[in-house]
Amino acid sequence: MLLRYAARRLLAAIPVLLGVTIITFLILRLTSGGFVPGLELNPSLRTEDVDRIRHNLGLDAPLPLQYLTWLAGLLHGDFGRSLTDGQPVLDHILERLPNTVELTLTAVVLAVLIAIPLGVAGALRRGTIVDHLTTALSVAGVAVPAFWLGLLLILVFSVSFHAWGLPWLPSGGAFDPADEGDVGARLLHLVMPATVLAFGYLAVWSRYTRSSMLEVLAQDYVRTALAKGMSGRRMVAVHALRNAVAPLITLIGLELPTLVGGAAVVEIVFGWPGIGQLALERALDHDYTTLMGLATFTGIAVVAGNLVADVLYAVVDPRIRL
Amino acid sequence: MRASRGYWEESWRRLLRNRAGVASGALVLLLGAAALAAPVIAGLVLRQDPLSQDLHATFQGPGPSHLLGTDNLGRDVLARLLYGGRVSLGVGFLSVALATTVGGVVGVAAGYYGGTADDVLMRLVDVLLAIPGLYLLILVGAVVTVNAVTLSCLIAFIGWGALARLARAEVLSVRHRDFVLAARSIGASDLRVMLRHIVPNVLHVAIVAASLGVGAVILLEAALDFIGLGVAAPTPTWGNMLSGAQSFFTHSVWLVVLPGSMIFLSVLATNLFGNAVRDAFDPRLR
Repeated sequence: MLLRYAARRLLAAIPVLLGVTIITFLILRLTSGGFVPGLELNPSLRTEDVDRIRHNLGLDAPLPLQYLTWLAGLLHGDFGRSLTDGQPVLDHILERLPNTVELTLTAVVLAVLIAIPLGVAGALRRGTIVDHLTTALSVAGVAVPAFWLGLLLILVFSVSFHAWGLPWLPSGGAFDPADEGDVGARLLHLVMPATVLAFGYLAVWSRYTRSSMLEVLAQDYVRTALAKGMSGRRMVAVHALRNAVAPLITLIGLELPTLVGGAAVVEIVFGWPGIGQLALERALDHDYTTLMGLATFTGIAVVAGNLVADVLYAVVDPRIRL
Repeated sequence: MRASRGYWEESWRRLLRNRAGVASGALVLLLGAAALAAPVIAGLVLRQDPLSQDLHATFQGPGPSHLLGTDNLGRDVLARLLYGGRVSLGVGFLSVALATTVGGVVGVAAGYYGGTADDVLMRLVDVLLAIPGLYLLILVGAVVTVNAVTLSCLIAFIGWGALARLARAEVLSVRHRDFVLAARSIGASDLRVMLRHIVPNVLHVAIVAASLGVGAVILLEAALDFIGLGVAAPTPTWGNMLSGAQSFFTHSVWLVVLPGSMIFLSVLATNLFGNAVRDAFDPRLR
């Protein structure tokens, strides 16, 4: 049963993946019009040369044919080659992806470790100062622009601390240029971008924990446990916490691919060499094939993530398989 | 119809009773009015132009001639903040209005007709929700020069899917109710059934989603301006003012603090108002 459900979800994902490739291709080709950086308006090239290069890149073929060629490559795991440096697009992505994953996961762990106690405290001490402070923090956390928070942190912890002779944090990049393998320096570089990213997640997830905790606390089994004389503390640890946090973990799992894409702005502010920073660099260089690959790659990750979450749901909740 | 009028009236009362909601709503109106009246305030009251440079008066602190000081080209910061609000709030409201309309129409049609149309439209929504919106905006922004209106259309294009899904789910829950059946059995056309009977029952979803969406769009638009792929100079926006101030923020902290605070304040106000609207209009929260 479960296998059949998984197979059905997988089949349903195929048209979505095809749609992702079509939309990405159309948007890029229609906006760029097949522009090749460094080729057009280059006075040292004859028209014949330009035509030959465009022909070699396959840009003179009809659009549907170009799409099918690109799609055939994708099916073989070939994301094409970069228009600016001729390297395989996939190499560029895989070179940067670990950095993005490192940053996102650090932020996720950081946010979960703070959000759950905050949300639980807010729910247990409903209506008190603790609850109001938690609420205020989460409302502010959603509204503060990540790039602005990043700038302010740089201003304080890099610029001002440096000026005051205090130990300061590096303002950008992912490692010490003098020693790439220095783990301590790498962690120092990670502190600020991960904090900014975690602050945004934390705001949403602490609210989520608070409301699901309140829901669980209103359940009959909680009342039964308390009526049987279980201490409040033990009840929270045994019953409430587990039931309140499970949906949050599922939510995070479902959103993980989206989170990886959403880290782009923070990467750009801190010059963190992840795929978001790569997207900006390549966009400014008019390297469309790399951008097409990036958007498709992230799209596939989102669809795959949703698929895994769907199947996991079905494992946990048998009613869904019907 | 009596019951439905009661719902709207009751919702309005609940909204007006919510003090935080009224305060944040007033703040949104104030920010909106300041943005709309920017040419009048800047031109007649401040007598400052957001674009005119004065290279003899750069990086001035707040003072009588420039209430909030000047930037690196000697432009008046207050006038630029006022004009910047036009872009941020304009894009925020316009793209949410567009996305709500498109998402609402698609969701209602898909839910009402069902079958193949529903399948095709919902797969399209799946596709749009799978593509990372920010990447799409980055790449389009790098190729074409966008202005506030085209940017709103782009944001609406990638943003209508979520509402279509919500609206469709809501339609499915009312489609087989007796009042729909009654309307159809007396010969009402599909269009009439949808507009008169389905839409009023779906509207609250759209209102709640829209009022919670504006803040997110303001943040997105400011981020795009900040990385240089949104609305570009010379048009002043809060996002591109921030990116301009980046190079000078060691000696002119105000140039970083002010535009960021305006973004923060607007998003905060629209989100709080959105929460109040949700509390008042969502029937499940009663």
